[in-house]
Amino acid sequence: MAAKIVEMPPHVAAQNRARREWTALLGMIFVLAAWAMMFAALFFSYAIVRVRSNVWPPVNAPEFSIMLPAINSFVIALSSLVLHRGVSHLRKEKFAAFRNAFILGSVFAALFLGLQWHFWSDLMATGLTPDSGSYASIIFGLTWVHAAHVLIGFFALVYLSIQAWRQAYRLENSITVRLWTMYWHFVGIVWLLMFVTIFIM
Amino acid sequence: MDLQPIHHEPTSFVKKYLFTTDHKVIGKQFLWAGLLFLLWGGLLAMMIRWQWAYPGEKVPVIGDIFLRESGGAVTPSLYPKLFTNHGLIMIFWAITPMLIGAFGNYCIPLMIGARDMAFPLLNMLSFWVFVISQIMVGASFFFDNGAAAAAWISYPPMSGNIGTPGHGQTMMMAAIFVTGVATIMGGINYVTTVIRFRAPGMTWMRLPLTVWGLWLTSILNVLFVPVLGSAGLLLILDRMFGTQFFVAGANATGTGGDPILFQHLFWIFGHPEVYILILPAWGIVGDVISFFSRKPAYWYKGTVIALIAVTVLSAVVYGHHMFMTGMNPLLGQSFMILTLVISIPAEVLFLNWLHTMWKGSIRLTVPMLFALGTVFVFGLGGLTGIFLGTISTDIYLHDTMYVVGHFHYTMAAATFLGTFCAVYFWFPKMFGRKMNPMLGKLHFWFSFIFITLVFGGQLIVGYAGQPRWFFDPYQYTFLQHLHDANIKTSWAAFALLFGQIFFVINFFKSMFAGEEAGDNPWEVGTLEWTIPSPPPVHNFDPIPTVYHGPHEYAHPGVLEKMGKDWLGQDEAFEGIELSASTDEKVAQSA
Amino acid sequence: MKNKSLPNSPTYQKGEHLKMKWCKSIQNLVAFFSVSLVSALAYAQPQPESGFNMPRDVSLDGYRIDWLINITMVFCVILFVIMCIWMLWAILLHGRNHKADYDTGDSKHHVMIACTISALIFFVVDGNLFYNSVIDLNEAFWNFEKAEGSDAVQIEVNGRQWVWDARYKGADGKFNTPDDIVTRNDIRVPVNTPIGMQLTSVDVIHSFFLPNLRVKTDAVPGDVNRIWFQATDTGDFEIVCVQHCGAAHYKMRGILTIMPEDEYKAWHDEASRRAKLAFDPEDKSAQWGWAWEEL
Repeated sequence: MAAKIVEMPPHVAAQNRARREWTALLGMIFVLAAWAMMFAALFFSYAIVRVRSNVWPPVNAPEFSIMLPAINSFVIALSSLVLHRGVSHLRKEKFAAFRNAFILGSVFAALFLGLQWHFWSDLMATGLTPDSGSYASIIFGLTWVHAAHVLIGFFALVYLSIQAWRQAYRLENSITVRLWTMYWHFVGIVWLLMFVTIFIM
Repeated sequence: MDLQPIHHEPTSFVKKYLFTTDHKVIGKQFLWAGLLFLLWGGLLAMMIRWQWAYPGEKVPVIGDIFLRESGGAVTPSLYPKLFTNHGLIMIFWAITPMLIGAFGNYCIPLMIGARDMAFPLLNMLSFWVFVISQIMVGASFFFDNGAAAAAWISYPPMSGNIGTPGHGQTMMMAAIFVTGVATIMGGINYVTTVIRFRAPGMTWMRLPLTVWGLWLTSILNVLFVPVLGSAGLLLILDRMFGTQFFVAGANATGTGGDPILFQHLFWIFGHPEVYILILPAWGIVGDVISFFSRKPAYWYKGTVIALIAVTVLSAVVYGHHMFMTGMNPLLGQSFMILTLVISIPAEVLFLNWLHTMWKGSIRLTVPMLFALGTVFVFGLGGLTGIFLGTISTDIYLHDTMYVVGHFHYTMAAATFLGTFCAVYFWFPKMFGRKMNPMLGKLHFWFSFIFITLVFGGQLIVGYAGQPRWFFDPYQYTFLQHLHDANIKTSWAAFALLFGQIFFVINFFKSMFAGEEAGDNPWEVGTLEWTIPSPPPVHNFDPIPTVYHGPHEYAHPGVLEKMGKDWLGQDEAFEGIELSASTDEKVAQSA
Repeated sequence: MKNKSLPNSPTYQKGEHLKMKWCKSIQNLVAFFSVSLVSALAYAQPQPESGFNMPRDVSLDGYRIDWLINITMVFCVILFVIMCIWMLWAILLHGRNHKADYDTGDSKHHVMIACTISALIFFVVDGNLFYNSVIDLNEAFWNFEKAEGSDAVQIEVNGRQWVWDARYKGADGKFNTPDDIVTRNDIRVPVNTPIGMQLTSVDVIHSFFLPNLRVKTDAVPGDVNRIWFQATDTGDFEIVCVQHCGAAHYKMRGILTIMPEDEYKAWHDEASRRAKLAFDPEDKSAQWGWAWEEL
């Protein structure tokens, strides 16, 4: 059967690669659809809890600054932008710029997680612990679940950066990079939605 | 073709049978895993039935082995664990892996003419994540306070720390989350595979109904299992970290969560789940009835439209599970009408099946018997369901054994018979040998008669008012006269279990010593029967071209020219929609 | 025979021992005997049922549910029998020896027939079900105004593992005051009078089911749900919890006693008077009532 693999004309190879990428892309779209439903369920929970409460935030809830989440929104937006640039560098086969962008993206991801951690400890210091009512439940529960997804993205970015450092990516196998970037954009969008609905509204 | 490369057959045992990416082997793995848990869930059900027939008495055999502490009897604190785990195990670890995991994996690539799934590695991961969840279920029995005990619906606060303290319940919720991840992985794979990997000429309207059923199921899986994941996750947070999503508190100060919120999330998933379980069975039944009536499936397009309509509607009717929670009247009425609308596509399906049989040339083979049995029990299940779709009748029937009988007819009896229809039908392809029809028919009649009686008995006592989840219904004066009926129903259940012995004998005997099946023992035309049984690792070589739908039987021209009453999907025949578009053929030859 | 001799004055936890003190008063003893004698004569245990019908209906509106279930059952049996005959007939007539028709069923004619039959079944069976259900809900089951007036009796019910607590307004006509009557697994209502109930729960979700009165609703922590009914006959009936609420869920059984109106009034006045005497402001756990929620 190995004999079947004869040399393929380049245009057919390109066509097949495009088809395979399309398949992978379609798979990723369904992954994100599934995860969007999961986050939609979380937002739905938030909406129900909030609608049922007469006062929001609750009367006895401690005040806290939304400085850190605001900075984090900025950080994650920036990281998305950087990764987007990185992918276009890869498309143009500027490998060094691509690698640098992904390393920068990983740093931003780590920064986001660090700031989140800081934010949680600040909250707990003000007395808003996870078990202090539905308000805290929403803030902690939703950001925890989100942070878990950022963590997965962070590991992926570190892996991609290492691989990029080893010059493992070319135009032909760039789909891996593009799909993880899609995932990262998705996580970023979810965070912005969370920031707007939980911390601003 | 480079698009779907031909893999070499792996040589090592581990790569061939354990960590394999071959969809056929993964399908069989799911089948084994599912059968094992089907047995487990079944034994739990037998203990429940024993308790209803002879409350407080020693359970024979099982009691001696597992219930030594209580002298062999089911205790009130054990009993909730029985029905909780029976429900969850049957739904998530028996029906789902068998119908969707096993036959989804085995049939989809073969029936659409692909060499493997779109993402073979993801497929393998899906199975092993599923195995992890099974281990977690097993482990949940050994924690403090024992296994989960909050009923399969796991409504908080019952499933919170108030109702079920201890880590068994937490472990079970985590196991549901993990198996949900496995299901989503599988679902993504199936959806993508069907969209991308259909053989040239295999248009949407030429797909076998089995594939349609599995594909629609997978879409529901991808979209709605994550909602269950969210609900489970929030519940775990409530249990482990003291958050209060589902803990009612003082609303005036805004400190309380909402126990009803969980019910919304659960049923947003839960109602599609009902269809997730039954859609593949509908698809299989639709195909098998046509195959063994030797007649084209009646109004194929209508069947497909009906399946799609059910899929779409299933997402918007979940509220009828919550009629008794003090629902807003307007919302209640909308859910009522939406629920009833589902009966229209269901009627179309039934009419099409019946029409397919009519004026056919029916062969009562074992798969056909199981398919007809599925139609019969689903008829019962569907008709008894409409009483639960309107509020005024639901007021009386809600949470009685009537509900239990109804959903067992649809989710248990229909999927059980549908699964065995699939097992008997594809066994020759899976193992290259035929199953013994005599034992198969014995198995069918035992299963069919007793499964009808078991759930019929539940409907009857439910109509008379017996609530579900009762350790000992006869504490109530108005239920005491139902004891005899419950004893009879229980014996029907025991006979049902006994009847499965025929299957076990048949299954193992045929696997090793059955008659050689040949490529196409049933003389049907779908693509999996055009290749050897069992198929080679890469399935198709070369990938076939499809010229028409899967149900070309009894065509007079074919009969005349080819001397057979069926036509393979890859056989061109002048006069039967020879419309495999030319550009696809070009793409194929390129 | 179940011991029903004590007219239920506050039996809620700490109230228990206080009650015994007042029983010493002669005046109370007279009332005690008169009420208990009447109770013992008039009410027996819940009667066992027979056959496979729904339990005996003693409610004003229960016939609506029974009729709707039974008429739909008739439709369903007809449909199911048609399906079975069709299948059997096909198997018998069109077996192996019959030459199959090549019929894909795609013709307009066939599609029309299938759609018409489906629509017909839908409009007759489901339509009837929906139409009558909506009417029933608006006229009866969700028409809570009927149980709001002063001629009606209002009861607050609190579910907890594994007890149904009921609370009646005392003589002052207000809930959550010292003269409230609180009973435990024992609800008494007058016959031929609209009874409004508001339900909640303090621990897990319960579901309050009166099989003989065809009413049911969930008791949810943090929520107040309402039901109303009107009994047409006196007697003792069972109260069932139908939502899994723990190991002893099956023992969460109460007794609903439907009394003649004058007897109910006598019981209520007496019990309220005693409840006021027995009121213990320290016993917070007995003060779970709430102000009646208006519609």
